[in-house]
Amino acid sequence: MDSPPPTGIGLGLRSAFIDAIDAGEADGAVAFLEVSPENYLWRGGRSVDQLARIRDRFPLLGHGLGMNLGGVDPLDDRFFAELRRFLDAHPTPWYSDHLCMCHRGAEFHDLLPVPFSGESATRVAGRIREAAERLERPMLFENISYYLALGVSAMDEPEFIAEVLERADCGLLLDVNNAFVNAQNHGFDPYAWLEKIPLERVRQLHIAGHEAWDERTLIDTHGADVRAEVQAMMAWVVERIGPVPVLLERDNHIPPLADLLAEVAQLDQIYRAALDRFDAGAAQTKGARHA
Amino acid sequence: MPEPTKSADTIVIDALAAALRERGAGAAIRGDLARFYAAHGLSGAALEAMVERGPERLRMYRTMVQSRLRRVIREFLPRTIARRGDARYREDFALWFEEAGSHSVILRDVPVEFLTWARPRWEADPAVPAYVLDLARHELLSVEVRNATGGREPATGEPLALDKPLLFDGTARLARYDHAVHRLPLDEADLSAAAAEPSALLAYRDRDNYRVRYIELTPRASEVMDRLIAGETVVAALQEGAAAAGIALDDDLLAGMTHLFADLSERGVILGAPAA
Repeated sequence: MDSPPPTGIGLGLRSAFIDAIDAGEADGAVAFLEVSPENYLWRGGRSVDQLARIRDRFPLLGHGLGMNLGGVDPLDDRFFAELRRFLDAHPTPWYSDHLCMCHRGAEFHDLLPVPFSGESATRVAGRIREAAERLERPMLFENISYYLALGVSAMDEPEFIAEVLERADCGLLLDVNNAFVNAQNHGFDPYAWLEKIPLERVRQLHIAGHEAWDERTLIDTHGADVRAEVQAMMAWVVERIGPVPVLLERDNHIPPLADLLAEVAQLDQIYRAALDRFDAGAAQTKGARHA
Repeated sequence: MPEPTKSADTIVIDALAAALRERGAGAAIRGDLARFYAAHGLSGAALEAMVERGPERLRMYRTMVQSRLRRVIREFLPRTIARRGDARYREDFALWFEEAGSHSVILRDVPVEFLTWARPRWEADPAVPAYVLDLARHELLSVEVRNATGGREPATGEPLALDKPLLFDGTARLARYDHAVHRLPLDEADLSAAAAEPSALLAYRDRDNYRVRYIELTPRASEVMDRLIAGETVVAALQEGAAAAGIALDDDLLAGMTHLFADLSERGVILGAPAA
C-alpha cells in the first residue's frame, strides 16, 4: 500500500517454480510477482517461508480466488480476517478478485458466472465496497471467462462491468485473454468489446493462454503460451492507457521457469512498443494543445 | 417462518448450483433441460433464455467443477483412493458433493472435508477394510504436518526438568492407528493391506529441509509423549503414561525415555523446558 504500483510484465507466483524464484532465477527478469493469498492462508512451511524471502526482492500484487464477489451468500468473515492479516504482512497497492460466484451453499472452487442484471450489478458493487472496507485497501475486480450467461441479460458484459465499476467506484483488472475467449465462445468482436470498457478504470492487465474444450468452446486454462491475438489485445489496451502492470498467468502445463521468462521478455517487447505508441500519442496530443 | 421470496438472480444462481451438485442433475440436464430449470424455479423469460442456451455449457461447468475437486482429493489421498477404486470413489464423491460439499475457501482443505464426511460411512461399510481409514488419516497427516503453521521455533535453552512440561516444535503431531499403514509401500499401484497392529507415530517437519519425518513410538513411549504434547509435566507424563501402558515406572522406562528425549532434542522436535 505504501509503495507505488509496479508497471511492466509480471508473473503469477506458482508452487511449480517458487524454488527457482527463491533461488534468484527471476531476479531482474520480471517487473513484479502476483500472489494468490489462498495458497498461503492458515499455512506454514516451505512455501510460506519462501514467500517471506521473495517479498523483499519483488513488488507484489495480491489476487484472490475465493471472495465470492458475485455470490448471494454473505462474505466469509473468517476468510476476510485471515486475508487482512496476510495483506498487512504482504502489502500490495490494491487487492483484486473475480467478478464471479464461487460459493452458494458450498464452495465450488471455481469461477462461475453471474447474471448481467441491474440487481446483480447493485449487489456485486455493494460487496466490492464492503471488501475494500474490510481490507482497508482499494479493490479491483477481474472480468472472467464465462461459458454460459445466466438468466435474462438486461445488459451485455461490458455494460455490466461498467455499471459495477461505477457503482463500486473501483478499478478493473482487465483480463484480455478472458475477453478473447468470451468473444470466441459467444461470437462477438473482442475489440468492439474493449471499446465499450471504461479503460480509464483499468489498473492492471492479465494475459494468459487458453485451450479448446471442444471444437466450439475455448477454455481459459492458463495452460498454453499466450496467442498472438491476445498479445495484440494487450498492446491495444496499453497503447491507450499507458503504463500498467501486466501479469502473465500460467497454471497448467507449466514449462521450466526459463521458458516462462522468455515469454515474459517477449511480452515485454510488445508492451514497450505499445508504450512508445502511447507516449507518441500523448506527445501529439500535447503538441496539438500547444499549437 | 416462510422462506423469503427469492430474487430472479438468486433463482438462476441456485439452479446453477443445483446443476453442479445434485447427483441426478447430469442426466436431468441431458434429458429435459426445461424441466430441470423449471423444477428449480425458473419461469418465463429467464426459463426461455436458459433453455435456448442449451445444456452443453451447463454440463461443461458441472464436469469442470466436479473433476477439479475429485482430482484434488485424489492428489492428497492417492493410496486411499486407489484402494477404494474409481467407481466407488466417484459414487462417494458425488454423494459427498451433494450432501455436504466443501465449506472452506482453501482448496487443500477439500480432502479433509471429504474424509470427515466419508469416515463414518466407511466405518459402517463392511466392504471398506478397516485399515483404509487409517491409511487415509496417515495420508492427511503428511499434508497437515507439511503445511502446519509454526515450526522452527528456537530452543528454549532450559534443560529438561521433571516438574516442568516440555515445549515441542509447532509441527509435532502424535498419530495412533490400529494398523501399520505407515509401512505400506508408497507405490499407488500396490494395493496390499496393512497389518492389524496398533501403531503410534510422532510426525514433525524437518526444520532443515521441510520434509515430513515420522518416528515410530513404542506403546509406552506413545503414552508418555501423548501427555507431554498435551502440556503435562515430565513427571506426570511418565507416571500417567506408565500407568496407561500397564507397566512400571522403572529404570528401563526412564532409560528409554531419556534416549528418546535426547534424540528428539537433537532433531529440534523438543525445544526444552519453558523459559522461566
